[in-house]
Amino acid sequence: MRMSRRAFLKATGLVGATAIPALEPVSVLAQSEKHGGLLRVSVTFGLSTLNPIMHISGAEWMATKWMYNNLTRLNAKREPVPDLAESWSAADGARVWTFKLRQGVRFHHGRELTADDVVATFTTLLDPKTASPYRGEVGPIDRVETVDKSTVRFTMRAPFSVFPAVVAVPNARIVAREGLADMKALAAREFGTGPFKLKEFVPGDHVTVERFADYFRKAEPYLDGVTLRVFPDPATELTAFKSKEIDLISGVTPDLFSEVGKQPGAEGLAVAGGTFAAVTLPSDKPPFNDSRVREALKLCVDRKLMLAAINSGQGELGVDHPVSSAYAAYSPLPPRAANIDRARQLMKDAGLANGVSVKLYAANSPPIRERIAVVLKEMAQPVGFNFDVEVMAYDRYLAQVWNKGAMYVVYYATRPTADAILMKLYHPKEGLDEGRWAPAHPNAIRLLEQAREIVEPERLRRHYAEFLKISRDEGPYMLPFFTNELNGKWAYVRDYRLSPSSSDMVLDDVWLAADAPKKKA
Amino acid sequence: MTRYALRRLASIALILLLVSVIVFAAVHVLPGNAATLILGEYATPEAVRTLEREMGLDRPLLAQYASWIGSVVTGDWGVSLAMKQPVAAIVAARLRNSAFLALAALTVVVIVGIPLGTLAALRRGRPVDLAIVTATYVGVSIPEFVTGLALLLVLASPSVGWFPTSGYAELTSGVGAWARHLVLPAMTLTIVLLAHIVRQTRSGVADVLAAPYIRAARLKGASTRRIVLRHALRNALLPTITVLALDLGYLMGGIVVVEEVFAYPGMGRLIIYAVQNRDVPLLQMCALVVASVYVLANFAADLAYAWLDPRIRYS
Repeated sequence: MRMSRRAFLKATGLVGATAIPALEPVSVLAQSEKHGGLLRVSVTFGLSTLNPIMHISGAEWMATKWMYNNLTRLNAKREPVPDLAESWSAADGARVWTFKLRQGVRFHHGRELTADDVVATFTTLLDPKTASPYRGEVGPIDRVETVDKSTVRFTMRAPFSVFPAVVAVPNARIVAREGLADMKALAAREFGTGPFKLKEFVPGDHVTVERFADYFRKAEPYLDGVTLRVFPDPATELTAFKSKEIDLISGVTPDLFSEVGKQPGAEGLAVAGGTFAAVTLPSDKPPFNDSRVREALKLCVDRKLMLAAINSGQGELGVDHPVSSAYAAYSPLPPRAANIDRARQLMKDAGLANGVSVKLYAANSPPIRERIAVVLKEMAQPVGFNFDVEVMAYDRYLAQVWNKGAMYVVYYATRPTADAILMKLYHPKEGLDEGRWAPAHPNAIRLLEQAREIVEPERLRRHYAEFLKISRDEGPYMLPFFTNELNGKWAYVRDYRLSPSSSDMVLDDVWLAADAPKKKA
Repeated sequence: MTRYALRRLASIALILLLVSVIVFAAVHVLPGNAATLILGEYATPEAVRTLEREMGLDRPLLAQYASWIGSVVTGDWGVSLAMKQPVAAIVAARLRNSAFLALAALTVVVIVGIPLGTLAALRRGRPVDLAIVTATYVGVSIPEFVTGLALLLVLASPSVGWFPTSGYAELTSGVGAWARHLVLPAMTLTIVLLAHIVRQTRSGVADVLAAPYIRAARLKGASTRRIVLRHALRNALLPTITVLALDLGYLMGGIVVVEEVFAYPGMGRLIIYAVQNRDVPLLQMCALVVASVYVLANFAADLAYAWLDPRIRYS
């Protein structure tokens, strides 16, 4: 059959026309609608450095999340999902972990990502000379090596089942190896693969990033740029938000949170987190070396009232262990009600019927530390605890009180895994054992070590449940509640999902509706 | 005059040296150092020791001070311990921001304060005088953060929105945006500073108006306008100039609260940051810069004295 030129064109045109709606319209339309605009985010403190290996503040973690990627990231259930790594597998009883990298990922300076960059990043992070604050929290890595251009192998000193979640921590962002050559300069520049590249950084004031056109998640990000600004005064921050100079407030204080929701067109976002303040009960000396005294103190606390008084009710009640419902390994325990009579009896049994005086320290930042100390003093008085509360500047607290075996208020943010926060709080070597409890409880500590061999999530949950019970009944921390992560945003900020760890701020697919003030920035 | 100026400059150098010693000593009396603060509650003893070695904090204090002053004298201001960036660039940017704010506030204070003070002196004891003195006193009595927040809530609220709530705009982003960001903080500072200037001018002018030469001027038939502007103010303003010089120093480094309320990146916030992070090189330079502004402004005030009052001679 002969086909005329016209018929041919018509036929191919038809094929083309049917192909286009099948593939294109969604993204074309969505792109034109979603693309563009500047998102303005606020925080209240901490923006000194952009060096991912060294940074410790939530604001800095947010900014590097936009410029870099990790091997994995955590989904809403805190399970690891692919980021730079497209797959991973364990061998030798969770001792050897192999990560397969995504192909064709480019750094902002143009070069393609290879396994050598991953090796260089972890080598720098683990080098004692780097003195990275997070060195102890990425697991017992013995060796990290290149298998081929896109495969990396980690060999552990001991089994470490949660490793794929741990590599999502802010300090394990993958940095190009040429960037690691000058660690000082890395404080103010970046060598990442992330959705945005650095445009301007004024330490302590703001950081601005702009869209990276070659990002490996094609079509993303939708935003042209993001600015993160520091507002030292929360009242000013809120006014700036109300005036739409800010589109998204990260870390709204609980007392201002209700204000956010009152604005027409604004939304308050709350999600259960793993952040908490707790009181250490130093268990190596009187009075708290007696587990009855520890239990008596835990029974004094009306947790619901404390949460309402201190955090406007924004949170989840705790039962004296640090694993909240935000963790994949969470297992619920019955809530703990105050029981003053039982607490008095325990004090009597411990020979403290006449009460006991203890010094209780709290740093003045964040304010929740001081509030916990003051409210605890009042709640524990009827049972015979006489706390002498001393509030001090954070710098003095760090130098003179923290991790020195006293009774004080700790404050920790959500970690990627239950392992990370449990090791940090209880293990004498992998962490700091701030409650000085490990030496007398070797069996409990062994439970934590054994957990690292368990890969199967359900088994791991059951295993941890045993430790959490011990921690509740005998542990060296009074942990009254976990605080919710609170954000405020205008409705024109679309597809933003608040993470249980608010510094885990993924903006890849966030977009601004047409009525956003900076849509055409 | 030249000899006087040289002698004053030499004493200024000595003052700055003393300031650097005092600040250095004071930081080291505080517990903790840059290493413990960089690591926070993630610190391990090894990591702290490594960072201390890297930043030279493990050396004897005298050696640390000597190496610091050695490099400052040769023009090297060093690198901030917390921000890892050159101190000179950080301080220069903040100093410029503070200077803009200080000049804006001082200009308004002079333009409004001196006429108000003069008017109060001319109407001494009458309702106008009482109103001016009371109003300025109310201004200085209210804490800065209250004044600042009140202005913020009124003039930057969503329904009014005349001015941005906070922050700073570069001159490159347009003079309009730049000026709008200065209005609220400058207005707050004006309210705080106005009382000093008004009181000083008022009592100065009142004193001079009682002097015999003013009576002589009146007797020869000079107009009140001419008496005030030409004869009285020139003499009455001498102490006011000293007050302005001190205010300038305060504005360049001491307005932490106003800078925090308006999230304005000036010297005050930078100094607090440096102290909180035990960032010694940064703090030292901030202290020296602010001290320099103080002593130089006073020096300039003294020179202005001689110019305004030919009877004063420095020799």
